[in-house]
Amino acid sequence: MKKRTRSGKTKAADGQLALQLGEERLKAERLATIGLLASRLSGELRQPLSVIRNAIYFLNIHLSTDVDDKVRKHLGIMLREINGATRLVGNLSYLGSTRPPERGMSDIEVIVAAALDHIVRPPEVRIRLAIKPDAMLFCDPSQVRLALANIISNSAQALQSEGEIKVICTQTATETRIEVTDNGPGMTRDVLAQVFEPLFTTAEHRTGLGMTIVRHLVGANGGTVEVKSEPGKGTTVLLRFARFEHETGFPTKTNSAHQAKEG
Amino acid sequence: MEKNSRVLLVDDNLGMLETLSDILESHGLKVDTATNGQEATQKFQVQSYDVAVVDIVLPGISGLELIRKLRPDHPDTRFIVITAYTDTKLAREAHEENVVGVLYKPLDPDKLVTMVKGLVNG
Ligand SMILES: Nc1ncnc2c1ncn2[C@@H]1O[C@H](COP(=O)(O)OP(=O)(O)O)[C@@H](O)[C@H]1O
Ligand SMILES: [Mg+2]
Repeated sequence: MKKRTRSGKTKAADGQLALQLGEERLKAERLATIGLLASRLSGELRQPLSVIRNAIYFLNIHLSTDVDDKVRKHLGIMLREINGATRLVGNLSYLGSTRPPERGMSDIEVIVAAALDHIVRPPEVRIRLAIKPDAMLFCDPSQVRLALANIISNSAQALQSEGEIKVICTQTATETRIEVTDNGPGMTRDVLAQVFEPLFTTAEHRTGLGMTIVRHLVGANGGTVEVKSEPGKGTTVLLRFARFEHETGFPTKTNSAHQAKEG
Repeated sequence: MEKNSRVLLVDDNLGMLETLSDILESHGLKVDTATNGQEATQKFQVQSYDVAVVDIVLPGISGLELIRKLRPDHPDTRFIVITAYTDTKLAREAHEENVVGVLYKPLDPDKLVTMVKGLVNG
C-alpha cells in the first residue's frame, strides 16, 4: 500500500510534468503551423496586391488633366488601402520566417525613426523619444524595426486619441534596453497573461499576432520582451538585449565617444 | 531612350503581365511576355532583349535557372528579378545572381520603370 501511494504520487507529478511539456510542445507546434500558414498566405496575397497597385499606377499616368478631382481622390484611397494591406502582409510573412537574422551593428535611433515611419497613428498622439545618442545594437535592423512598429502601433491603437508614447533607450556595459511606454488604458491581468498568445486579441478587426511576432523577432535577435501593464495607468513594453564583448570592445562610434568622455 | 528597346516579362501571373506590359509600353518600350521558362527561351531564340524581368517562382524551371540558362547566349541582356516570396531560399539566392535588382511584390511600378529606363538608356 505504502509503495503504491508513493509511486502513485510520483506518477501524478510525472504526469503533470508530461502534461506541461506536452502543452509546451503543442503550443510550439501551433505557432509553427500558424507561422507557415501566415507566410504562405502573405506570399499569395502579394500577387493580387501587386497587380492592383500596377493598375492604379497605370490609371494615374493616363488620367487626363481635366478629370474630376474625386476620381483622383478615389485612386488615392485605393493606393492607401493597398499600402495598408501590404504592411499587414509584410508583418505576417515574418511570423513563418526561418531566415536567420542578418545581424550587424545598427543605429537604434535610425531603427526607431523607421518604425515610427511605418505606423499609422492619430495626430493627437504625442511621441517622445529619449534615445541615448549613437546607441548601437547588434541586430537585424529590419526585424527590430518591425518589432518596435508592432509595439508602438499597439500603444497608438490603445490610446485612440489623446495620449503619449515614450520610447526610451538606455545602455549599460552589458545591456541595451529599449522601452516603449504609453499612458493608455492598460491591460487587465487576464489580458496581460495572454498578450503573447498567437491569435489573442481584444480588438475586433485585428489579427492577434502582433505581440507573437514581437517575441519571435526579438528572440531571434537574442533579446527578451517584458510587458508591464496596469488598468488605467498604461503599458510598458521592455526589450532587453545583452551586449557582447565584440560590441563593447569594438571601436564603435559609441565606445570611442564614451572613452573620450570618460577620460 | 534608344528606339525600340525590348523588354521581356516572364511571370505566370497573367495580371502582372497585363499591367506591367501596359505600363512599360506607356513609357515607349516594346514589351513581350512569357508565362514560363520554356516560352521565354523560345522568345529569346527569335530575338534578344535589352531587359528581362523575371519572376522567381515559375511553373517548370525557376526564374533563376532560366537566367543562368540564357546568360551565356545573351551577354547583353540585363536581368531584373521579381518575387512574391521574400523569405525563400531562392529569394536569397537571387541576390547572389548577377542581376540588376530584386524587387518584392507588391513592387513599386515607378521603381521598375525607372530601373528599366535606366538600363536601356545607359
Ligand atoms: N499598449 C497596449 N495597451 C493596451 N493593450 C494592449 C497594448 N498592447 C497590446 N495590448 C493588448 O494585447 C492584445 C494583443 O496584442 P497583439 O498581439 O499586438 O494583437 P492585436 O494588436 O492584433 O490585437 C491586444 O488586442 C490588446 O488587448
Ligand atoms: Mg498589435
